Amino acid sequence: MFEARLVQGNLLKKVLESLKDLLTEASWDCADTGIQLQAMDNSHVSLVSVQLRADGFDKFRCDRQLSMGMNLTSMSKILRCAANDDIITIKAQDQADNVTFVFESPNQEKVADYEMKLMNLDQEHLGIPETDYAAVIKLPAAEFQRIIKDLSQFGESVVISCTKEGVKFSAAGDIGVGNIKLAQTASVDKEEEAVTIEMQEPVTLTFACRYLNMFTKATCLAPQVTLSMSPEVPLVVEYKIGDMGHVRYYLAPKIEDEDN
Amino acid sequence: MCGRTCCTLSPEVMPFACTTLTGSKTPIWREAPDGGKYFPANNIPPSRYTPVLWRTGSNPRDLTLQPMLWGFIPPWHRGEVPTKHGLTTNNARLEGLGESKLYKAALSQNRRCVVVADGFYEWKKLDGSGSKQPYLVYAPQENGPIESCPDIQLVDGWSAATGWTGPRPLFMAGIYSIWENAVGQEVFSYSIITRESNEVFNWLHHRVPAILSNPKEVDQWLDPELKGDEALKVLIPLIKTQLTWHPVSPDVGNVRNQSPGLQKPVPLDVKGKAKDTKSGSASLMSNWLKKAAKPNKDEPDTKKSKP
Repeated sequence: MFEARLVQGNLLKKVLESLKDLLTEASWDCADTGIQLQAMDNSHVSLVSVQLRADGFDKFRCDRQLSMGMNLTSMSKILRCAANDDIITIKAQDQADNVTFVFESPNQEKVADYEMKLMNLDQEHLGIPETDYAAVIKLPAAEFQRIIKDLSQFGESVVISCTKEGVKFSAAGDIGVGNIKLAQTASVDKEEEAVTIEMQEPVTLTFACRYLNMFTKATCLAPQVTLSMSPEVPLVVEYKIGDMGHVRYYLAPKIEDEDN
Repeated sequence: MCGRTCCTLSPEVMPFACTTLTGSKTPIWREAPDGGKYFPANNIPPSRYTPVLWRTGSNPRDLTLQPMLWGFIPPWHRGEVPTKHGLTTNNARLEGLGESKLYKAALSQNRRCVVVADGFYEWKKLDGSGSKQPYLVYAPQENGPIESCPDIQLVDGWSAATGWTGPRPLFMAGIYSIWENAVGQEVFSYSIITRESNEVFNWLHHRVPAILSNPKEVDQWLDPELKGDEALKVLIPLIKTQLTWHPVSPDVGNVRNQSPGLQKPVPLDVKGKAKDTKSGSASLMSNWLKKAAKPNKDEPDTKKSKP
């Protein structure tokens, strides 16, 4: 028997919104420690890793480990039927073909349940290598979303370069060039609005805007986003899910044409 | 311009593949005196050792195939590092070669050679976008695109009756230098001779290597009796039957990319750009993920068993 109840049901709604553009289907791996999802997008350029810890749920029961393959488009359709203040419960039997989503209104006057067929996804479980990052940048999630959206107008890719002075995002294309520089916040009044940089060595990497734009769908999850970069290693874009877990996106840098 | 080649045949096979253009003469493989090794690869930049054909004696049969350093070392160069001369010498312009300070001594010493490869890469500038699309350029093959592959064994392409039937290598005219390094070893290095391209090739690039496409031309080009500027007359302007090409993945632009299949044809979109196939980014991602230790599969029933 698997059952997970989340009073703050809109967290789950937001998680799905942040995944459904990148992934069409994926497996949710459930264990007594919580729920995990790890999947690559179709082009195998990016990887998404979601963790929802058991202690973050208001009730969590998982008698046996199970892996629930779901069509994320369908799951997102169902979760859209939940109101923002609904309490969401996910239920499945140990050997089930179906998963059930129960949405309860806060005053318990309305209860809806939706059943969805599970899919048999034979996905290999990917290990993520331990990596020391040369630069870790924290910035307001909304700021990051805005930067990527603005620079996407200029070109297909954005260059992120981090030095001890700050972080610079640039894009170039037919209409011209765009550069956005963020300096480290000098005095932190509100932690959520701060830009902080921890850097071992300067890094400059190029990424496809298309993916970064999809990642910023998770902006609604957290006030801050963390970017971790090292040369020749995928970028990590991390959003916290309340205090119960995270969504991490990994994106391989573009390998640019060196020839001239 | 020619600054990147694809050369995948092994040293065991290469001398036999060369017979397609040397008449029946099979060159002798000789290692470089300075120990520079040739490693077959599909993305080779200057400063690597690649096979070069040259005449070691007066007999036309004295053909040697030897790894030489790509990037002609100027005769006046002194120093520990053979490549640290500050000049770009991977190509030598045919126009004015005899007057070139860099190359005229080598030309008068008849240091002409043939650079052997599966083919070379050239980048076509695409209108407007400022981006480029690479092509692999090679000798026309019996059927279809060149089947470059480091795994080709001698038995796959050679029999005494038919000769070499595997991929036909491309022969490019070159000029070489013999330079003595600090420990007294001879370092052979070369430059590929290029010329203004013509209507056959200028849609792709305005320069093109001088191609040798039959045994007679190869023989004359390597003939020590033929001197200086006379020898250069062997190099005829490019003709249509000498070269063919196909678009390849833009990943070849980065020399760090050595993935198999890089030299294979890819489809183009309407703008003349390679359509997104498995990109360099995707292979970077998969290589990175391989670094991770395999996750523990301690519980046998992690997968939901479907009734």
